[in-house]
Amino acid sequence: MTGRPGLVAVLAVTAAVAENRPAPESEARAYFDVSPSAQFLLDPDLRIRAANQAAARLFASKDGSLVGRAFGDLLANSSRSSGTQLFALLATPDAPGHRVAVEGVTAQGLSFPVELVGFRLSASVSGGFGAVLRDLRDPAPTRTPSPIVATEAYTLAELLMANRLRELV
Amino acid sequence: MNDQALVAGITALLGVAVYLYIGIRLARRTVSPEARLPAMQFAAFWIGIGASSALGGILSLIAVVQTPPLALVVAFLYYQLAVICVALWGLVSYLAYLYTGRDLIVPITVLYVLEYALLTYYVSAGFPDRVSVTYGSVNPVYATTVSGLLVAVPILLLVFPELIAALAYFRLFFRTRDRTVRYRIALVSWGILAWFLLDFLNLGNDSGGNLFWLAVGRSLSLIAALVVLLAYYPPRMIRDRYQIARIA
Repeated sequence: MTGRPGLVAVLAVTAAVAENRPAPESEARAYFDVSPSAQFLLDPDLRIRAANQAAARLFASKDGSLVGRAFGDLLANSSRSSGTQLFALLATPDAPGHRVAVEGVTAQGLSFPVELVGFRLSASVSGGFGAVLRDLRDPAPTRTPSPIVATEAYTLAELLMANRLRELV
Repeated sequence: MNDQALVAGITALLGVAVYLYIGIRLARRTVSPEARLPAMQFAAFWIGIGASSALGGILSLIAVVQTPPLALVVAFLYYQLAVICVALWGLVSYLAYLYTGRDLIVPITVLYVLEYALLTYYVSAGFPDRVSVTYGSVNPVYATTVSGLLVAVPILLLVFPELIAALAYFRLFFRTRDRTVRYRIALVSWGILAWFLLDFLNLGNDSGGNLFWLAVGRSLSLIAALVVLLAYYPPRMIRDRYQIARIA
């Protein structure tokens, strides 16, 4: 994803969610990408399937993509067990989401405080997890619509495209 | 007897068989109701390419024994422009659906109807007044050279969407991890790209009239078509080794 989709895309997706109808795919992707929080889609084994621009800015090295890397690599050694425990808790059906304060590690190797929010993606969308890392150094975090909605919308858009490719290519 | 026209005609018609086969098989695929239209549009692309090649091949075969009459050549040119516009309409609509999940039939149809109108104007304004048979290719010769925006726009619209569409198709390679989908995207996109480039460069015209090189130049397009066929019908060795499925 490139470019900087603006307020219109965010509003369109928010309106679609409020009306309980699917948002157009391109807008759903834009909504995920423009989020100021670092957002991730994870496989059930906690490998990164997709990451947004904020995540790439914070964690990706210049020549590397985040896709395919273990999510735990983005956390400091001292925080990895907390991160793993959080996702283990999500395995129970009555635990849709959890949050914990941990230490993240930038691409330059600097650690910094982050809030990790983990949530299980809808079974209809994916068997994996969503994760949000919010930089706690930010004194006034931007208020945005739920990152969970953004990640779900993005995942759904990816799933729809994968289905189209399988069916039509 | 014009041997060069015979080579051009036979190679064109061999390609027709491949394109029509691909188009018909794609049209018969079982897909969900919402994917029916884009599936048919992609099939229309291959059938349109086949029909266009057939028209050129028929003219070349007529030229084996005599120069085709001007009225027939001009009429075939109009038919060819129509089927090429339909083919490109199908390809662009199909890709638009793959990328966006939206049916963009109205704007794309308007674009290609305008394109056909401009192309036919270009042919009429040039006042075709005789026929040339060059290295087996049959074309009208124009009395007037038409220039300006009215020519540049339709020709650019005819050339660039094909190249952009083929490259856009290849970009889908990076959007999936499915082996079969990746294999098909790689072969089909580069097959389409090679076919258009070879058609555009018309290497047969560089043969200097040598029949062997003319056949080689013309056969390259046929090879590009066979690459696309391999995308949908991979040999058993590739299917078994890489777990790639053939078209259902």
